[in-house]
Amino acid sequence: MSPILSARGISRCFGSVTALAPSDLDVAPGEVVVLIGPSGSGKSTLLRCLNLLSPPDSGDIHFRAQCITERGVNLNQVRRSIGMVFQQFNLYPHMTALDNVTLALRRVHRMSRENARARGMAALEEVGLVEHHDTHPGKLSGGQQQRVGIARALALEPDIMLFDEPTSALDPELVGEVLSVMRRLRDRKMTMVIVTHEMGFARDVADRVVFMNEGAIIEQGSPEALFTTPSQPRTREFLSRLMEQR
Amino acid sequence: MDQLLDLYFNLETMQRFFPMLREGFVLTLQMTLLVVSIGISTGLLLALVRAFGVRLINWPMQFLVDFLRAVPPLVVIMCTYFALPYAGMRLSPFVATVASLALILAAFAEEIFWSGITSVNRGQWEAGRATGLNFLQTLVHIILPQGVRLAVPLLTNRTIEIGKATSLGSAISVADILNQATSAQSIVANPSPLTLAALMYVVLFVPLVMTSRWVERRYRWQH
Repeated sequence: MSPILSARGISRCFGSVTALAPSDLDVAPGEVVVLIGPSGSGKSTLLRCLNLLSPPDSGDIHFRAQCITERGVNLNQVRRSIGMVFQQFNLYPHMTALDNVTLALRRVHRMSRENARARGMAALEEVGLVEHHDTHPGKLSGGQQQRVGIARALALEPDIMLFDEPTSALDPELVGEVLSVMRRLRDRKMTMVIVTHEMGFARDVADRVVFMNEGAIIEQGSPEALFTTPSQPRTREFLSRLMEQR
Repeated sequence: MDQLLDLYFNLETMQRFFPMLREGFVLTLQMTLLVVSIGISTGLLLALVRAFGVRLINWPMQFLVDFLRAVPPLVVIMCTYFALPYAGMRLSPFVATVASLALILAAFAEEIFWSGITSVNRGQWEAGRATGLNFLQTLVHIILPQGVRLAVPLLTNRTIEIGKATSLGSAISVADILNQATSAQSIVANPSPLTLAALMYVVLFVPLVMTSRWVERRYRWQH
């Protein structure tokens, strides 16, 4: 199947630091790609390049057969179809959960208040937070906040969702509720690119695992292949260090 | 003690000059309302323009803002009133005072709004842009409400300060509260009208402080 998202030779520098060396990544419709690797390995940078939140310095990205790295592309239009979930949730603290979810529906999709509300409630329903629709983020737990974050992205009915370490800021006991929402999305055949340190989860849900180190993609493959018989020494080293920590 | 009462709390004198000071009160109130509404809205507009980061606009704007913040208000009022006529612009004392103070308040308000805008977490911008909102939409719906809330206490202080500076208009013969009070004082050689003037300033600005408290409470949310 032709990829829905295809990045060719994208790179990104911050000053003199190369955060991401020229890299390729294809994502097929319905595929779940998980990016793993040590801190500072360029996973988040790669992810944030994909919706041009942090535009790559070089390379091309094609999304649904459209080159989105060209000049003159309406990025606001493109980003409607690419959902993003952040490590720090980034919910709007001055709005209720429902308003967080419906803001873009009303302002970008120009939906009426009623339609946006209906769609927003459906999205909150999907993450199990309908009863909290009138609550401000400050009164929700971390796990609930992140589920609102997922609902906010989901409400736009994106073609692909990007997750930037969605559980890293959570207390351990709250990680499960977020992961189970993401599992449900996978069952619904949502296309996802996920940066995570949750290896058990990666193994469960990923169609493909990509290992990154020092700003480069080192190797990729099915979870079984990558976790049980990694071909690269650096991958083996990273995985064995994780095992030791257990 | 009697002497103190007679000098500063002479009710008879206060009563006699009350109508005169009331006129001043109305004028001060008008000036304050105009200065505050023009100054704050202009300041907000300038901060929004600044957010777009166009150097060609921002650089001269910054210069003007810094200049207005550095110069004493009385100097600005004097220059506006006495110097502008030479450039063919003759303003009434009332207009000169209001224009000067509104300009100064706009300069301060711009800085205050700007510091509010920049103190909002970058993740808020990212969240907005990632959902397809454009720059202006993100600024108006997400960043500004959070920035303004941070700006309210600073803005109130500055507003009160500039509001009281309307009394500087008396230097160019605006018949405001202070001007009326000093005239009255020199007529009867008794400073009680000044006490009345002080009371009038309290009546004028205490509601402003209370409104600010209310706004702060109204827009509070938990983090």
